[in-house]
Amino acid sequence: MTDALAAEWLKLRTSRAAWYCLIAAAAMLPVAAMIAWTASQAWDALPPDERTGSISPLTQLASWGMTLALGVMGALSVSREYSSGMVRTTFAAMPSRGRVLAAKAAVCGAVAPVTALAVLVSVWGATRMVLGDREMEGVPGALSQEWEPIAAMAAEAAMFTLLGLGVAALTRSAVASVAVLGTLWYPVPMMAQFLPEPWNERVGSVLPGGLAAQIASPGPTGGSVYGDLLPPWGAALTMVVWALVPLLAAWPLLRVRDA
Amino acid sequence: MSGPPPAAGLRPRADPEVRPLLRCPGRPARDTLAAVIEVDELTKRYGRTTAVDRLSFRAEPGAVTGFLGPNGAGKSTTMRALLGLDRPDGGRAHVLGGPYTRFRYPLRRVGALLDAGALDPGRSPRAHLHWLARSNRIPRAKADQALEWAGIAGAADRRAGGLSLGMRQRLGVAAALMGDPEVLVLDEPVNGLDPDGVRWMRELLRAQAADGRTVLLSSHLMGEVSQTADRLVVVARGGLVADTSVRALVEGSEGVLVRSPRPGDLARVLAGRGAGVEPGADGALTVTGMDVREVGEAAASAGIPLHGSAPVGISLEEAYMRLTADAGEAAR
Repeated sequence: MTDALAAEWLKLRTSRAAWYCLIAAAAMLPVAAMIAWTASQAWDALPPDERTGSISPLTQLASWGMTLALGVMGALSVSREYSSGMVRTTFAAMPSRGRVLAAKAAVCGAVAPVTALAVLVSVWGATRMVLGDREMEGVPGALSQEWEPIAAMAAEAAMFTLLGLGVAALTRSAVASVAVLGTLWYPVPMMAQFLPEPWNERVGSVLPGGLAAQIASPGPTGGSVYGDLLPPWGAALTMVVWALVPLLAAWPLLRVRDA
Repeated sequence: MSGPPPAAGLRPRADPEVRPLLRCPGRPARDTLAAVIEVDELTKRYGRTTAVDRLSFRAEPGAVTGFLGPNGAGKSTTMRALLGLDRPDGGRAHVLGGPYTRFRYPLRRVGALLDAGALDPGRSPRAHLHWLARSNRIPRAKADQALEWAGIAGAADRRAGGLSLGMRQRLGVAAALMGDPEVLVLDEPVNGLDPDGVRWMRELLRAQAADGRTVLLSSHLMGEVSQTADRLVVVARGGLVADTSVRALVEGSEGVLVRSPRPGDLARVLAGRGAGVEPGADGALTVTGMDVREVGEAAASAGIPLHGSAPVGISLEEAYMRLTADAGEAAR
């Protein structure tokens, strides 16, 4: 297993597609910093006695963008092997396909939360630095108060990556896996809120994008399209299900299918 | 899973100057009688198409076995089955006495080049060989050495997608050989190579076989294989057409060129006696499976005059075309 892990780690490190996804994830930092700066300018332009207002948690915004980028990274790590035919080279070198899939999942499932953690802590720091002591609602507190939501969002990043990877292993197609991922990421939660009561809340609570906030929320969640019915442990469990079910479904298929 | 066999590739070499990947002085003598590649009644279907139909052949060590057949004959499918990539619907394809998938570090036992394009176009050749080497515990130095020796060190850090087909073939060969395997399985390796590359490949494969290794080399062109291979396994439409030595095929490819004022009648008579008859452009017939004397006697006994007859050699290419064309007709 160490050999497969090391090989997949080398592959990820030398994959341009993966780097593009990681760069896209990291790009959430300047985006968040810019929003914070714009807010600070607007705040400062107000006369001191009219300065009220809030800023939505920028770590959450950054996490939202990152989940897609890192999910695509997971999807491409498998589907690009199929589209280029390299999967044959891979399976000829490592005939134990389950081991290859596990190694890919382990590598991507580790790189994604580490990246997310680094970006989120940077976003937290940048927001604090830019907004500083302005008494705006939603300015993040000390890391000792904020680490729980940040950790939950890092876990969410790992979940999306493994979800993308699993769907790609099932479909063997970059287009199909990215489409599934993108649909779960945006249109499905948008549509779920229009389901009849109480199903909008129920479905919204188990969708992948709303789980981190149910484990630990960085701030007011008013107006979220997601539901809020799960206890933290339930949300964490649902995360594990989203991450592992496609992978476990792909496992037996991978073994019997022609490469 | 049982542990890997001791890897010959990791043994220090007595003389690293002697093109390391070509020679292997430390390799223990193997049982040269055992068939290293054993395809037995192999059948593979894709939907309704039968790509390989009860194909059986063997490839032995110390020889280059040419695996020959027109496009779509089932060569690549057979090779994929041999490497455990495709699951056979019947029969088996074994390497070194068992299925390929049992190897933990297969690149050190069997080197394969199936599709030179089967790599991430965004990754450099060096990175490609490095991950392959790492997956099979082959020292990284061997991968770098293989790049040098395959003549692609100059392009080793460029994008693989920008390489010419010939360069990618060389990269594929480097990948196949860096683990110092005792078996080589190469699918159309000379595609895209320039004349220098073709000669390089031919000499390389000859040297590998001379070293006691087993080489299975597929091609759809007789010309590519006849100068390299010792044995020929010819397939068409998924089935075996001939399993022969190159020499036997040459010797069996003598024919008789015969002219007659009644070529149609003569052709019927000769075909009735089991000969192969092919009409030429100028009314002459090319007859196979009979010598000049037999043709003359057959014509005389049927009362057909001959204006001339002479033995002719048929090119291997032509013999091959006939073999595969016959298989095509039989299947129709």
